Amino acid sequence: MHLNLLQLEMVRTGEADADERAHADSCEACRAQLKSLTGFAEALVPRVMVPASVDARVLELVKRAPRIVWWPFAAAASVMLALGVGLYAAREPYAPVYYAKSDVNRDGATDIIDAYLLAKQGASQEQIDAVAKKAVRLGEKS
Amino acid sequence: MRWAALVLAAFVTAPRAAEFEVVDVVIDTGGRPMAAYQFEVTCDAKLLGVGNGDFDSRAPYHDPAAIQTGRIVVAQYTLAGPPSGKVRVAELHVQHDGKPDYKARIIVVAGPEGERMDATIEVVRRGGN
Repeated sequence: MHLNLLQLEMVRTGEADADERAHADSCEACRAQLKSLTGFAEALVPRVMVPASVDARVLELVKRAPRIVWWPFAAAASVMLALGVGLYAAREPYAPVYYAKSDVNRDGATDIIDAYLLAKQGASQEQIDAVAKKAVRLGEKS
Repeated sequence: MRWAALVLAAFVTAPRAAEFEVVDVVIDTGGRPMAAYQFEVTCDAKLLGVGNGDFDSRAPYHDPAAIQTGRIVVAQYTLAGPPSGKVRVAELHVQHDGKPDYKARIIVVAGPEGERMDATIEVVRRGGN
């Protein structure tokens, strides 16, 4: 069994496994095919000779290209980071709003509306009375 | 003449007898149904008690500590068909030794959905005096 074209190409490019390489070495027909394939592949690669002057010019241009100065960016990033940390540390602490259990409609006050809503929800008379009595308690209303 | 002067002096210097009156608290919602109310009344007299008006058959909620003082917070709700318009929500029983001055303010008035609404309040003396 000879190597197919794909296997020969892999042998040429060094990607073939040991068995394929061994076969290509030992098989006359495959070796001939490989040689032909190698010649063909090399023929496809353009061979361009770059004059030494061009090489030198390119190198010179590379050297003259403006270098990216990185430290201003690093400094700006540091300032932004410091500002961010500072603002985060100085932020208003999260102040959760707590509502009294009796403040059914959560409007910040316990009043007769809360008792009414409890009554509408079918709460016990005891619960309703507790909220209503809290609503009318003197000392809590100015 | 002497006895007349004595009678006059006794009348002027004698402490006036306590008088009692019942006043009605009326809330006007302007035609919108009222399901709950809460108001505060202050007066230069002693409150002796609170009674229900035409709003609900139950006596309104109030703080018993308000009795014998001149300040009270009164509230009630109703699950029956809420009345609308001018409603006599409560009556106050008052002891005074003169013609007390009543100040009433609404704390909250709510409609059937529990929504707050504007209303006016007044304290009405019975007999209109």
